[in-house]
Amino acid sequence: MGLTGDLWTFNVGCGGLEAIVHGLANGLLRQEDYHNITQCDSLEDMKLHLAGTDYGQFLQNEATLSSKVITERALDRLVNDFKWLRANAPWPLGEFLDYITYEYMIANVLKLISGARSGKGTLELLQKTHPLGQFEGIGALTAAQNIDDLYDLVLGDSPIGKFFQRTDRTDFDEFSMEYIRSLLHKNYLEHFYKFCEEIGGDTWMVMKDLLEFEADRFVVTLTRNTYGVKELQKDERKKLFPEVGQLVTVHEDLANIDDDDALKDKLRPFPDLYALVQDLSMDDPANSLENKFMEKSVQLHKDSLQRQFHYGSFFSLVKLRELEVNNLMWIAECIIQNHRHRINEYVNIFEA
Amino acid sequence: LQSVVMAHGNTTYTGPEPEQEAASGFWRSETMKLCRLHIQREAVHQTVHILGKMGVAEFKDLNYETSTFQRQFTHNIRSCEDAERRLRYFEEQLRREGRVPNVEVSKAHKEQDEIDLDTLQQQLETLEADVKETNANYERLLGQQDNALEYKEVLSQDRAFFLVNGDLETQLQSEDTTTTTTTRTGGLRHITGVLPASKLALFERLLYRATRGNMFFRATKTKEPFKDVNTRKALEKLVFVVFVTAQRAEDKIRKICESQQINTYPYSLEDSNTEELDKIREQLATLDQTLAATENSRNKHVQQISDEVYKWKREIITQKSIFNICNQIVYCGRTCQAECWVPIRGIPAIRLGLKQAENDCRATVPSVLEVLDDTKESRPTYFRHNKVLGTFQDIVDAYGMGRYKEVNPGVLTVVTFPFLFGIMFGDVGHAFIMTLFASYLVFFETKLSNSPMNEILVMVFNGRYVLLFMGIFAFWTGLLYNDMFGIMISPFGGNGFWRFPLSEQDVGENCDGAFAANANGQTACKINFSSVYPFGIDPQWAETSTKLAFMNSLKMKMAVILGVGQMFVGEILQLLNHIRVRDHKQIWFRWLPEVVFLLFTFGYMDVMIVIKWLTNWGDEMAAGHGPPLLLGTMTDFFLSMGTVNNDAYLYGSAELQSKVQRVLLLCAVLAVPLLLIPIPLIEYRQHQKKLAYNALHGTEEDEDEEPWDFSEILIHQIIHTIEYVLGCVSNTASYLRLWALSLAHAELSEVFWSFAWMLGLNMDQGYGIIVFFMWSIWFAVTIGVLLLMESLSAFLHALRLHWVEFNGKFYYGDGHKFAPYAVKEMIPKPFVYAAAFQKQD
Repeated sequence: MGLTGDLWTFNVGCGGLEAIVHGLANGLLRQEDYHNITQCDSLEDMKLHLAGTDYGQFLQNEATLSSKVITERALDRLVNDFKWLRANAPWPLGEFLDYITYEYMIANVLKLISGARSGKGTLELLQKTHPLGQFEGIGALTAAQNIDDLYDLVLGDSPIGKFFQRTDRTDFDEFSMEYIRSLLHKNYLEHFYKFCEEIGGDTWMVMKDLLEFEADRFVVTLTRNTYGVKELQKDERKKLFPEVGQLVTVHEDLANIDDDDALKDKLRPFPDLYALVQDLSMDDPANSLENKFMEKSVQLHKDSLQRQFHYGSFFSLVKLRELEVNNLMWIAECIIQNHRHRINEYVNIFEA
Repeated sequence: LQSVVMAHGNTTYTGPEPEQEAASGFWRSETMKLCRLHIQREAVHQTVHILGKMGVAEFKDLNYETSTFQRQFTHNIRSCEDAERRLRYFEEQLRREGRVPNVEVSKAHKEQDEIDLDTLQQQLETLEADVKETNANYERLLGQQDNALEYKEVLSQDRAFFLVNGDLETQLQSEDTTTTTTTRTGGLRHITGVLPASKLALFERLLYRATRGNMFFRATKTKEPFKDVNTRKALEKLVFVVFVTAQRAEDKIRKICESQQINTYPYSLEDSNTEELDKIREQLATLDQTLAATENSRNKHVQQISDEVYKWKREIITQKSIFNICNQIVYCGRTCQAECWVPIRGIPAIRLGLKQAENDCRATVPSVLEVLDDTKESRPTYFRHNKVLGTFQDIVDAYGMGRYKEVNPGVLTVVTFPFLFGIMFGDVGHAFIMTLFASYLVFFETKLSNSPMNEILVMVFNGRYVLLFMGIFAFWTGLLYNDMFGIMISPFGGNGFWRFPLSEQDVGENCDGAFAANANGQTACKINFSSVYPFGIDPQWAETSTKLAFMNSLKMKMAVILGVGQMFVGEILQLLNHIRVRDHKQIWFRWLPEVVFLLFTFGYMDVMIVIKWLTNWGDEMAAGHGPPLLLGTMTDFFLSMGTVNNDAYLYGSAELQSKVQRVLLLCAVLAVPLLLIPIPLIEYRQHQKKLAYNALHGTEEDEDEEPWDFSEILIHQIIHTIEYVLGCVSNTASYLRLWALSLAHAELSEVFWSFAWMLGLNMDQGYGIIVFFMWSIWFAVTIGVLLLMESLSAFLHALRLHWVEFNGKFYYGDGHKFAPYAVKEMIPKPFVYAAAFQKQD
């Protein structure tokens, strides 16, 4: 039954919020909405169509429209909804929602550091951070000179400090950045996984699948991205794999491979993953592994929204809404640049 | 509507008009016609505008298949939306300045009318650009001023603030040598600046982290208050100084300051800084001047906005709505077609409007109005009513919008609703207060409706006429009950049916032993048979122990009589509906059995109640025949086939009554199959006929019609029959709430009276203190519980009786409301608009 309560007691604390989540999920753009907005000739038309959806009048105060404006306002809507949920969430849902934001915090931290390295101004950088990943003092990151600074100045006091591990790398070269990103993400996944296990109940059943999939996706992606990278020793590569997911048993093997064929071979025992990688080719972008993982995760999130009495629906809502914002950005860009032929390459959330 | 026609009385179109059905307006809804307007393209806009001002036509969307952005006038709507956006920006400027739009100025513009939309657009655009520029300037200047002020604060700090005692340097340096290996370039370095107080904790923590505690930090409040540059709200700021030893630490701290948007200012510890201070003072003086000038031009803009924003808003809303309607019209060549629903009385007005628009636009092709009589679409329901009847109509509409032309229950509701309320709330005192309050709302309605009110008050205010009627009717029933604040009053003197003997002798002389009843230990005598109390219930009952039993019997019976009466009236209305459409099947096989069932069972019960009231039981008892219990009679009526026991007959003889009851019961029982069986059979036969007809003539079945399914009709009829038969029992019982609520109200009032007020009166020793408190309690409870809560519950029950028991007997309520395109309804009232600005503060 877990900390969240079950059929009998879940609604005492979270019934209202869950109902709102399902209401918001119902408001996700449907296939026909996508069909309509991809037909638009201008962003004005797009605005008109979105006015008929749950987005409503979200662009009414914009003098000129651009894909950036549309994306930002759409993201604002997601952030507002999320903040409202967070403000009304009882424990442990509040903590669970915080865990969702940690992922964005990690992304922001990395974004700020690499931005600062390329010498951009702090204000400009702060504007580019994801609004869900804000925390107090994040701006001070730009003052950090090396990884030790990074931890001492900011991360130590921040919510994501617990995901950080001291390593022997101290400089901000490109490789270490990626290394830190992977490390933080691995730890994040493991912590989140453990936290969901503590919550237990239906939440654990749903989140277990979701997070294990995320972990597997992370492992496969990381493996593919580090084929033949000299700086990364094989044992160190293994250290970056989260101890979560169905691939845990083959981490040792995966850490040692350097090409797609070997990868396919290793993944053969896992039918659902193998299905994703089996006809993999580097050249076809529409058919890339990334897209396949994306489609699969959309499916999982939709499944999670089919169930009740668990926190996974909050997680899934945020993920699907974020995807939707990205879709809007893609479509808006295509409209502006007149890339009609590619306009349908957005991520299908609800197939026709 | 009428006024429009009247105003143009002389020029009204005098051609043949489609005729109006009888009793249209309020008893039945207005006769509606579907009109097709053929208008020259150039005159469309003006025509729609004029019709919009009249508010007589509901336009149909003829382009429902076209998506929004493919319609003709979408770009005009967009430009209106753009203007609306600008208006919102202007409104925001007003809010920021704490200004309320000057609606009076805009109102004055009303007569002048017609602002050209394009000109207005341009005007708004220029103004927006101006305001934005001024604002940008203003904000930049404010920022500069803020910085200058901050610098001034730093410079004008006491010297001692920046001085450290000698130990600090050595202390910091010695720590430095032990903890880090940074090479030092010299003595202490310092950074001075200003930060908002809210950032203090974060900043200190960051400093500590960045230097590993190897620094000295000091902060103090600014001498002068600061304001936030953007919101102009008070903002506490602190002047700070940080001492560190190493260059690297200093760089880091400066970086942190930059990232946290904390301004740092140079401050020299060596010289006295007077030069900088003078410079900054000079700079501030210039800034103040520039600011004043900018503020001046800003104020001008704001003044203009405040004066005109309402006028603009009105114009833009009107134009946008016109274009929205234009988008629902079909264009072909030089003319276009619009279709709209119009109440038949409004057709002359529309013709007039068409003509006027034609003249205004100098159209060469005359506009034509064509009445489409053969439409199969369901027509909208439209009642003409005034503000008094409107509220009662709303009560009905909340249940369901009447079907086109069906009898409107709203007419009877005007009287029955407050009357049933009065039955439950009857009390002269309470009703008087309620009437007084409602009268206040009614007499000052013009003044009140122009002033902002909170949500709950608005609700009460909108229902003021219902409230007034409820008060008056409750006063009337209060008189019937002779109840005032829970005690019985005797407006016509004390003498009556009963009297309490004052002495033994009195008993001997005046009491008729057979009627002596024990009341409160006293013997009550019936001394005067002919002295019936002139009006209402004899107040002498108040002093008897049988008061409650008497009242209960009276009110219970009254409730049932009223209930069956109201339900019967409902049935009559149903009959009128059937007669209008000449539906014989429904009259004979639905209405008739229903009425028979109702009247022959519960109607008969009512008759018995009346007979029992009218019988002189004194004489009857003398003849050895006592009053029977009606409850028992009714039970026997249903369970023993109407048999009456020998001594329990009410009228005639046991034999006669048994005969009558058997006939009644038989009819009532026969009514049930009559209600159940014929209608499905008839419909089945009609359908077979139609099929045969179609087969013979080879006509296809109408696609619009729903597929015919016998089982569905049968099930529907079975459900209806069960519902009706059970409903007769349960609805009659439901009317007993009239008695229950009335009883509760009377009892509560009495309890409060005797336990709050009378108790206090008895306890008080003549000082008046207890009386004061107890009276206050009594009064508060009277207002809070009896007037507010009890009236709410009585209102609710009256509502339920009308919706379920009354409307359920005849009302379809499946129509849709006539929603004419009326510009006036869309524009916020001036004072409402202005009030929205006041709320912000």
